[in-house]
Amino acid sequence: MSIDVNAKERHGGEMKLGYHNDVKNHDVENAGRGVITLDLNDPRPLYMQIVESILRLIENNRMKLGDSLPSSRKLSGELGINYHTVNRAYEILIHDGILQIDRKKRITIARGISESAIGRIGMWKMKIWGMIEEMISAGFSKTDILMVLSSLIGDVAEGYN
Amino acid sequence: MSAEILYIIDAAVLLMIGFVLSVVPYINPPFIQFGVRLPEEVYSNRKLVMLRRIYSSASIAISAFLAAIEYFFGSVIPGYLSLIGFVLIYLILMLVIYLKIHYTVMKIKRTFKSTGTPNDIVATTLTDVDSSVNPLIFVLPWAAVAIILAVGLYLYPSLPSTFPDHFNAQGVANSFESKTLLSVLSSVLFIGVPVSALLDFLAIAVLRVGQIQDPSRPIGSKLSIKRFNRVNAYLLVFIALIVDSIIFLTSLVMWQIIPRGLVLIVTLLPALCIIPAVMIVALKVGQGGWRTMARDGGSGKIVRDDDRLWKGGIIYYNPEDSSILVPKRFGYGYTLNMAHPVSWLVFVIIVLVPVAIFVFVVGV
Repeated sequence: MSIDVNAKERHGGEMKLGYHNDVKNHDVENAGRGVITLDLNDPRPLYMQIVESILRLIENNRMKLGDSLPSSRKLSGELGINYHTVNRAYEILIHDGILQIDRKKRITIARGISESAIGRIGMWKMKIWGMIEEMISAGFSKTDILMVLSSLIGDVAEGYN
Repeated sequence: MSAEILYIIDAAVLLMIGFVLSVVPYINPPFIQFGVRLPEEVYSNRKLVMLRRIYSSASIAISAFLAAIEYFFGSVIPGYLSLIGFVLIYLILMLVIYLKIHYTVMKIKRTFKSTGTPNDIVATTLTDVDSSVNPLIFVLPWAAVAIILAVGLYLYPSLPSTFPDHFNAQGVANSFESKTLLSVLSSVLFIGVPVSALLDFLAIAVLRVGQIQDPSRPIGSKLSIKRFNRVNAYLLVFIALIVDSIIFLTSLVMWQIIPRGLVLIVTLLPALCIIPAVMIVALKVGQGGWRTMARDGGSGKIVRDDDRLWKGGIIYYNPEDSSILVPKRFGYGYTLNMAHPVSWLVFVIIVLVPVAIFVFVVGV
């Protein structure tokens, strides 16, 4: 038997029951595990945002090994987006071994984030993505960006030491 | 029974439609009013309160006016088209009023949208929410069809060789048919079977709908839309059973088990159960199930500004969305995503089937 010490931090506090009180608390709490949020105005492609959301949920322990995800049709229906977008995100994660499809065609979480390439590099790639995109749209060239980055790396490493 | 009773029934139907439409503004969620997505606090804005009242009272007043015309001048209005014509006029008038209010609410929204850039956040929870219903309910309409068929077959040998297959409102037969298996069982075969199939199909389709109505409350929204779907699946099966019972009762009239004079009562009484049932459910769960929604930490402000995807707040057109069915914005139930090719197919079928039935009925 294990005690879920993070339960309160995960979905405590913020869950207030509104309108009518006929919603069972555990319903809300169970459903509250993995919320996925996409910004349709974000310049990053939607499938990248989905990949990032899922990675973050695994990172924060909101989704654990063996937890299943909704089918791409179901998820796209809830979000009101194209199911190919969700499919593409799932394919990336399956390719990297974070998700897997089991016998019953269920998509489940196969591995922790630390054991996968996307987990190690991809998270950071995605964090930097937005910034680089902004720099490109602000008119920076590839060499400009590289210069800024390498000088920053120098500065940060110096400060760190 | 006299023709007067027909006018009373027509007038009552008009009044009932008026009554149904009058509650629509109160069925819809506070964050979507007259097809416009609004910050929730606008719901109690004086102007919006007024607009809801205007719509409600207009729907009753106009229907009462048309009902009065139908009642007093029914004899001068040509034949059976009067009710259909009146309902059409009424719905067009209500659509015009709705659109007028819709664009007024859009204006109100602009005055409230003061802070920040327009948002477009969508959100849901990855955890599965159970939306299953007892699969036995899908069998119920077929069980009813089977019972009617069995009773028909049992009575078949004792039926006279010709029997009336059409009655006027006074219960006087005005069309006769000779006895064959097909003619005896025609209403159950040609109405009962397709209606049961259609409503079962709709119930299954409805259970798959999932669009989140309020992304600022993704968990509550998902739970409520699933509850909404489940309730509507039960409602559709209930309607199928009502249709089957009407078929059963009219068949019993045709088979001369129930006296002909009761034909109007046995068709109207079950049909009248449908509207109160839908209204009670609609008022209880609210459109999209918002009345049962839990406030899962949502701020209540608009995080999704998707008004541009809803033409006039009624027609959903979103090529980015793979969904075919989505919860309606104004009214109760679901609507089609007209950017999806399958929706057009469904739409054509929805339009063609009544036309075909009408042509068939008039032709025969």
